[in-house]
Amino acid sequence: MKDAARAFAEEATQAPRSPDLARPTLRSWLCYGVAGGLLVLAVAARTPVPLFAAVPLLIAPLAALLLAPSGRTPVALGWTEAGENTTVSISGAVTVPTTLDPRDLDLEIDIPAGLTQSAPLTLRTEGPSVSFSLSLRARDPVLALLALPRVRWRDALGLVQRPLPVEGSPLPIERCPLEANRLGTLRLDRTIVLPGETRSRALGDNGDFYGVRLMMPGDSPRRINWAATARSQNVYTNEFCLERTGDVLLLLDTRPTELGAAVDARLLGIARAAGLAIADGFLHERARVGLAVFGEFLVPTPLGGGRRQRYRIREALLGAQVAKVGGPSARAAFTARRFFPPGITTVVLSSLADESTRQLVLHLRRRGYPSIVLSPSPIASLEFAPSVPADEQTLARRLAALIRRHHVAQVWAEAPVVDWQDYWSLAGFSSFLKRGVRNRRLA
Amino acid sequence: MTAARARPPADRLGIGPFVLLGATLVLLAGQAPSGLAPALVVVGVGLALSAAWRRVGRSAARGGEVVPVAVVLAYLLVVAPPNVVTEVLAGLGGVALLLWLGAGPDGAAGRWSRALDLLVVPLAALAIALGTTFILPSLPTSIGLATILLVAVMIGVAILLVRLSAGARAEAPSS
Repeated sequence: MKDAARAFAEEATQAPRSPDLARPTLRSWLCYGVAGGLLVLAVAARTPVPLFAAVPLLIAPLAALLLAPSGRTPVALGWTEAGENTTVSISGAVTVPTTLDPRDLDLEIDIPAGLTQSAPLTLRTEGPSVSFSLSLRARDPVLALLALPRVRWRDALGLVQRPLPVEGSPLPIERCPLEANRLGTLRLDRTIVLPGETRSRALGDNGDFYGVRLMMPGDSPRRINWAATARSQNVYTNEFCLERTGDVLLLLDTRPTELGAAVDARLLGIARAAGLAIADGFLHERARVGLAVFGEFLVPTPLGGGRRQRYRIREALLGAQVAKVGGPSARAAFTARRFFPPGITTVVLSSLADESTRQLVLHLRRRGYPSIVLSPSPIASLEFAPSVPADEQTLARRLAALIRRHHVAQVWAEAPVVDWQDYWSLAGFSSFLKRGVRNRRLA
Repeated sequence: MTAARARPPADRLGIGPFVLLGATLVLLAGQAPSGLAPALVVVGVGLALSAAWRRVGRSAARGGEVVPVAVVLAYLLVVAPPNVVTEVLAGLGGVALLLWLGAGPDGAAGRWSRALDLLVVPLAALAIALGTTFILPSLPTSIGLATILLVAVMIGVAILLVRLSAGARAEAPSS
């Protein structure tokens, strides 16, 4: 209901869309231009001959507009994503109505930040559909949503074009860092019932088999143990044991930094992938994971477990964009208290490009959230123009490393920081987390 | 964010329409009063420039390749004496130029050969113009051309009406 209301509100606030009408292309205007020139020339030279050449150039664009498909002609899209590690292979097909010739379609796909095109987009016409394939390369871990392609119809001479509505769903692409599954073996602080580092146990619908008990109102019929019921003449249901290792809060800092929009977007893409990998690792071990995306305001995904929670977290991460305006750090910590219990292990994903992250960690600590900062280093994604000499590039990298070290040292005063350089591996973060837990136990 | 765009593989030069355009221009050059040789040189230069522009031209200069060949066509049409042959060749030249434009690098290979449906209307208009000019010899040429202008206006009004009705349908609330 809430989603429907949100969709209605978004639709109501959007400007009314103009109908997808056929429009003349540059080629049409060229035809008109040449025809106009010939008309002027005929009048100036007082000869009718150029007028005969102008006739087809004048009429053809008008005829193309007249013959263009009218009404709503949606095309159906089906696409999938395959590939491993850094390769992303996208293939699919666009099925067109019988009134259109699939050979007259153009296709355009927006490639999100973090992915590069490794082979050109190819089209192949098969009956009433156009199949396409696109090869991409993920240079960094990425969690992105491939928007619906733009499909355009053009007449045979390219005089008129018309966008066609596409029926389908966007395609999510997940390329997460490795070693994420090992994260779940860590025993986090239990924060649900009692303080301490003991593992909690909860009986419920999921987990390992624990025992049987008499069925009670509200129990799902799917949990009935038919063998026990048949033996005892009473209805028995299964109970499952869910062992939790603790709660984890992932806080994704999406505030804009002085690194610029392009670098911010790239680092956020990496942080999103890391967030999903970490969530995956802990959810796999039946911990509860929550997510907070902090841009101008804090957008929480409350603590939860299981596959549904993974889906919720993935959707929230996919929707996270670099905010236009950054909110004050105190707001994040203050709002977090309304949704997450204090004391849970908090992983802050931030680029540490400026002072604001230190403030954020400081306020989180004051509000009772022990934080660990996982910071994708912007130095690893530094790119220079080919005209910049090699020695200047080296110097720039050294300066950037010094600034980075200064920022990391500042944040270390408030919370431990993992300077994440190798984006495809979370081994450093994992081992750091284990070491940190052990040290706390010794203390 | 970048974009990958694809369409069926393009024929960068558009060989078929290019040959048709070249043949028409050569035939028109034969009608030139200055003699065949100079006119052929002009035709050769114009065709070579247009073909080279289309092959190596940047996307920013797209559409510019029509200029040399259009200038050559206009020159030949102006210097040609007005008679049946030159006027038929002029109409053919217009159609050839249209087809060559349609076979550009941003169009798919072989699309121009599927353009017959679209070409029916301009060819019919051309036939009406030529027919009213030559079959009815008592009428001057301007009558044929006036007929074509009338046809063009009618088509324009029809398109306007179709677009207005489509717009009204799109804006109508759905129940």
